[in-house]
Amino acid sequence: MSDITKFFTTPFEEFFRYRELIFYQLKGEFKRKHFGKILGPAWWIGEPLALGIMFVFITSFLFKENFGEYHTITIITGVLIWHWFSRSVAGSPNLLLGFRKELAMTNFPIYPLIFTSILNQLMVFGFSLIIIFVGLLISGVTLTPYVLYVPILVIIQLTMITAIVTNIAKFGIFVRDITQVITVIVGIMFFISPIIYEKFLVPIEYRFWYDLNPLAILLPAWRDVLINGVQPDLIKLGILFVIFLPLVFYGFRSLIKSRAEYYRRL
Amino acid sequence: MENIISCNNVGIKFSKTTPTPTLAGWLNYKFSDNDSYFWALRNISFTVQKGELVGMIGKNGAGKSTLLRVVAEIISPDEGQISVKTKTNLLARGVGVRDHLSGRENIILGSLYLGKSLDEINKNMNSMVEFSELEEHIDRPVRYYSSGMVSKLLFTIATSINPEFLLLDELLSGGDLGFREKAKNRMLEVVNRSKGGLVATHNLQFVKESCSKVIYLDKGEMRFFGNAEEGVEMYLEEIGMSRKKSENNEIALEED
Repeated sequence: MSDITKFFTTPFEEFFRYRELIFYQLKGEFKRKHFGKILGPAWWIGEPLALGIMFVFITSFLFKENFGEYHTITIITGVLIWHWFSRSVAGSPNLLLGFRKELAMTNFPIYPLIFTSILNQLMVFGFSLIIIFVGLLISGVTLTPYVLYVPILVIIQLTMITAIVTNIAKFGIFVRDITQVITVIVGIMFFISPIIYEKFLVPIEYRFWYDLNPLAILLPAWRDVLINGVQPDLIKLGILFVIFLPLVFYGFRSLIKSRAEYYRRL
Repeated sequence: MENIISCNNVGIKFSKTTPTPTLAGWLNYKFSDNDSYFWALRNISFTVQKGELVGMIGKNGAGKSTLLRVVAEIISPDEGQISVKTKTNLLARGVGVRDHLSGRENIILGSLYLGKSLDEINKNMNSMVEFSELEEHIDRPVRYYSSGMVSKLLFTIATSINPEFLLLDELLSGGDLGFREKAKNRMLEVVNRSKGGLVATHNLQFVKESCSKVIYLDKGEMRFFGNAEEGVEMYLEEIGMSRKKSENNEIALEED
């Protein structure tokens, strides 16, 4: 098999090879993170939901800003989708560090660790998605056939998150300060993404730069298919996918290639 | 006979300062003189042939664990070359065990990491639990286990697989005397099923009886590589334990 073919096929092969381990580990992680707490799984979406409700109040009463008829669900949808991105990316520098013992004392494979972490966040988002759909029903939003784009949006956002996480994770080992840097960047991204305001409020002369933020494309697309009932901007979504997909493979390969350098930095 | 591991003049250096990667630490490591690091291993050369069980002995801090990590390819040598023509499984004490999971769940997780399927694990679960002597505690979270119980659990997981080449770091010293005897026999069974093993241990009796060769390390340097009995004698002499004394008392060979 050529190197180029391997570059693209290895992550899939490794996922298939360790599928039982990944799902068993996922179960264990859920048990550790969520079931040991009194409110248990309620925390999966409790935090972003509380944040969302707070933003609804701030935008409605303080800024008198409004998404119109579906103001509340629009903001809660935005915050829950944002939460998947922010938790995954902000946690990425500590992803490998969280498995310090395994990396230092065994030659267990790295792939299952990464897949487990990414799937963990995806599962939490799965619960958020249920909350979103319940919220849409309560708000009286009429779902249209465009809702069928949801799996595509999940795949694009998952690709984007995986690309970012796999490319950042190893730097968490080499430069610990990266955790703080990423926290600041993620914090800034919240305000330069259309989560608690509409994209059209951004002056047209800044729109090109604004769109360089992938969330400025993804979040409106989510709202288009879930709330507005219109077709999302497929060209921009396609461009996002084409940019991030190779970065996923590059990120995985780079993580594995650097394995022998981790020990001295753990 | 084919050499499956060849180590040629391998050297590993570590920074003397904190490994936490700060900018200052990195600059210090990159540009300061030799005083900022030390050689954890230097001029290490040995070979392991297919089917051989090689022991590794030496005081704490001699470099045994580091050498195992080099063979496991989780540290790359700073000098010299290493060639490993087999898939290795490195297992050390206290690793792979998740405190919040029960002993049974840890057996499943550990075995999955070592490449077993859930079907195989479930089929062998009863015999594994029995071997570990943890029947009554197997469904309790591991955080309530004593260190001896954790060692038994880990050894059980490590030796339940069919590894190509097993690298064990101090796992033979865990558990009580009865378990150690069982562990020795189990270890030999595993090696017979595999392409061999490299075992860092303080259990000199095991090395003398079961290993064909021994590597004796002292302060990162290789003092001896060859016949296991000769290597153990040399080590005993150098640490001031006479042969007579040790023959009269097997337990004396348990350095720990």
